[in-house]
Amino acid sequence: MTDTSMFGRILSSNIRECVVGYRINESMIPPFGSMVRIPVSHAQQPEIYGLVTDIQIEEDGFLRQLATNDQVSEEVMLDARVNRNVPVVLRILFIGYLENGNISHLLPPCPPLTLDNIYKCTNAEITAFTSFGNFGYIRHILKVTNVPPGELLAAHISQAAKAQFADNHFGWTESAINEVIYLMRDNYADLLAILGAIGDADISLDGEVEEQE
Amino acid sequence: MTPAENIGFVIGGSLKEGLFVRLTVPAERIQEGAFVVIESNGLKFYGLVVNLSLKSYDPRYSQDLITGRMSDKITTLLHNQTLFTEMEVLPVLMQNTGPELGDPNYDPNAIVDRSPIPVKTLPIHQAPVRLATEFDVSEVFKPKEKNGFVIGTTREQGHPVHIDMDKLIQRSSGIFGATGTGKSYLTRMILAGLIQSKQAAVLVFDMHNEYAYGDISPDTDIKAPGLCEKMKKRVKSCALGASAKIAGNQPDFDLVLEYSDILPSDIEMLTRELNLRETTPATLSALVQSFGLNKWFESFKNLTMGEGEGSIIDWARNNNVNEAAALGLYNKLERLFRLNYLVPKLAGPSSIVKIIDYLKNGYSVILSFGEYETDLDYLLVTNILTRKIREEWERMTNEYRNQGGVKPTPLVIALEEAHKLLNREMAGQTTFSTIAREMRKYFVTLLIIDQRPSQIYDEVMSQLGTRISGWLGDDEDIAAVLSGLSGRDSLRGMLARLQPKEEVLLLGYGVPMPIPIRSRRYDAQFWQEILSEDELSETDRQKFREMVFDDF
Repeated sequence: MTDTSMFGRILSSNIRECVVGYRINESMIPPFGSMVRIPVSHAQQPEIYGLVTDIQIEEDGFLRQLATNDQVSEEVMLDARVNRNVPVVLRILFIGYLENGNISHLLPPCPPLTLDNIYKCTNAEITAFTSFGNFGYIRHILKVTNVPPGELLAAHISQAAKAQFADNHFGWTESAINEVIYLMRDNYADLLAILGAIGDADISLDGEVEEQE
Repeated sequence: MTPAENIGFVIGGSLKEGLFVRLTVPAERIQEGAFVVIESNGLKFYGLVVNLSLKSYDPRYSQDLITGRMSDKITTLLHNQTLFTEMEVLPVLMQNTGPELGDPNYDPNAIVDRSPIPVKTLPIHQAPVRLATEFDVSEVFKPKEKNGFVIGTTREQGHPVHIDMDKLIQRSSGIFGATGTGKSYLTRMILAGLIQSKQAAVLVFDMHNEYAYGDISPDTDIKAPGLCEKMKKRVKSCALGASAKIAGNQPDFDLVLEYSDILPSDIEMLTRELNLRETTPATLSALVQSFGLNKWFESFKNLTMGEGEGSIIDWARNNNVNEAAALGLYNKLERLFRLNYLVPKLAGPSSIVKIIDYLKNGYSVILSFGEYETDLDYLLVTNILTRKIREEWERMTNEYRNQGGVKPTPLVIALEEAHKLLNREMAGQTTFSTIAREMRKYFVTLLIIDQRPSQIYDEVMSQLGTRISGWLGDDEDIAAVLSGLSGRDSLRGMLARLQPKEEVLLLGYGVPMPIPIRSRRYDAQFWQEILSEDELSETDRQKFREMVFDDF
C-alpha cells in the first residue's frame, strides 16, 4: 500500500462508523461496499477496516446557478465536478481492526481521529482480513441501517470473492454465503432479500463475478 | 480401522420417546431399521432408526418453492441449512467402553464390564451418531461362546448378524411371514445351523414335504435341496404310512401308529375336524371303561352295526350310553378307521419308539406327511407323537435331576401351520401349548412356523422367546408377533414395511436387540459354509461345483 491510494480524510467518527471527505477526482471514488482502511496515526490507535456504505455528493451554492442554465459547457461541467468546494462524503462502516499484527473482527476500541487519512484496501489486505476467523465481521454488515444490508453484502462479497479467487481461495464465497444463511435463517424474509441481492450480483461460487450477457 | 462417518447428532429425546437426531447426510442414505451407534462420555448406545421426518428451520423454507429465483448453487446452500431430516432412534442397549487410550482417566489395569446392557440413561446433547460398523454388530450379536449362527446381514452395509443358537433353543421360538416371504427357506437354514451346531435334536413336522428332500423354488424353478440330502449323517427322514415315499425318495423309515397309541383326548382334540358332538367325551369315557385305555379304539372299531351281540347298540345299552351318541361317534370315527397308517398291531418295533430313540441320541428327524395332507392327519399324528415325546423327556429329565443320570438331549419340535394346533380352541387340548408353556425345563421347545400368528393363542405367543418375522400385511398378525415386547409401537411400522422377500425382523430372547436384516440366501454358498470340511465328501464338492441355484 502506498500513499497514492489515500483518497480522503475523516470528517467525523464514532465506534461504529465514520464520515470521510473525499478530495480527488471521481475516478478514484471507492465503490459502494469496497473495503477501506484507516491506518495508525498514533501509537494507541489500531488500524481500522471498514466498508463504504454510502457515497453522498452534495451541491454547493454555485451548482444551483449552473443547473438553471440552458447550456453548460464541458469545461464548466468538469470544473464543477472536479474542483468542488464541498467534498464528496463517504460513510464507512467499521468491520474490524488490526492491532500489533493481529486481526480482530470486533469494533475498534476507539474511533479514528478527524482528518486521519483513509485508504483503499489492496487484494492482499482484503484476503487477509476476510479469511481470518470465521466471518465474524459479517454480523456488523447485517446490522447496517443506512442501506439495505443485502445490497452491501452483495457488493462486499463480490469484491472479496475476486480477491480471494486471485489468491486461489476457491471455497471462500460458498463459506461466506453459508455464514450469512446461518446468521439470518431465523429471518426468512430478510434472508431471501439478502440472497436475492447476492444472486443479482452474479457472484460465481468459484469466486468470480460472472459475465453479464 | 477407519472411523465410521457420522450421520448426525443428538438434538433431544427421552427414554420413553427415544432419541431425536438431526441428520447431516441425505435422508436417502438412511433407512428405517438401520442399526446406529451413539458414543457419549465412555458409553456406547446401540439403537434402531424407527422413524424419519422431514423438517425445516421455518415452515416457509419448505413451503415456498424458490427454485428459479436464485442460482441453483445458492438454493442448494440455503436448503442445506434450512431443510433437514430428523431421525428418531429407539435406544436399546448401552455398553460401557471406558476411557479411551490417552484419556487422563484411562487406567490400563481397570476392569471394565463391556457387556451390552439394556439402555438406562441417555447420551449427551449433540453426541455424534453413526451407522454401526461390522465390529459394533459383532459386539452386540456375536455370542461369546461360538454358538452363533449367521442368519443374515444388516441391510445398509451387509455386516453379518448372528443369532445365539443356545438362546434360540432355550425357549420356544417362532418364524412368521406372509406366504411367499421365504419362511420355509429361512427355516431350513436355521434348522441346518441348529443341526450343525449340535445344540439340539430337531423333529420337523413337514406338512408339505419340503424339508427332507427339498422342492422346486416357485420363483426360480430351481431345485432347493433338503436337509436329508445335505446332512444325511445327522438327519433321518420318516414318511407317514407304510412304504410311503417322500417326493419320490425312499425315506429312512416310515411311521405307522398302533390303535393303542390313540387316547380319548386325541379324539376330543379332533372335535371340530370330525364335527363331534357334546356327548363324545361321555361316550369315550364309557369306551375306555369297557375296553381299557389300550384297547378301546380297536374294540370300538370291531363293534358292528345292527342290534345283535357285539353291535354298537348292544354295547351302548349295556353301558348306559345313549345309543344315538354311540352310533354317531362310530360314524364320525370311520374316517380314522380307514386310515392306512393306523394298524391294530405292528409286527416289528414301534415307529414312534424309533423316532424317540433317534432324537434321544441327537439325530434329527423330518416327518413328512406324504399323501396324508389333511388337517385330520396332521392334528392326529403330531399330537400323538408329541404326547409320547413329552412323556419320555419328562421321564428322562426327572431321572437326570433326581438320580443324576444323563442329561436329556435338548429337542426342538418344528411345527408348520402352527395355528392349526395352537389356535384358541385347540391350544388347551394339544400337547403343544403345554410344551410352549412348560417344557423348557424339560429340554423341549417349539419352533413355530406360521403365516397367521394372530390365529395362535395369545398365551402361547407370549411364551415365545425368539421371533423371526418376514413381511406381514395384516395388522392383527403384526400385533401378534410384537405382543409382549417393549417398543412394539416403534417396531410395528418396521415390520409392515419389510421387503416382501429376504428381509426379516429379529426380535426377542435370541437376539440382544430387535434388528431388521437381509436374510442369508439358501444357496450353494450357504451349504458350503455350513457344512464343515470334514463332512464334505468329494461327491458333495463336485455337486457344489455343478450346482447353480443362486436365486431363491
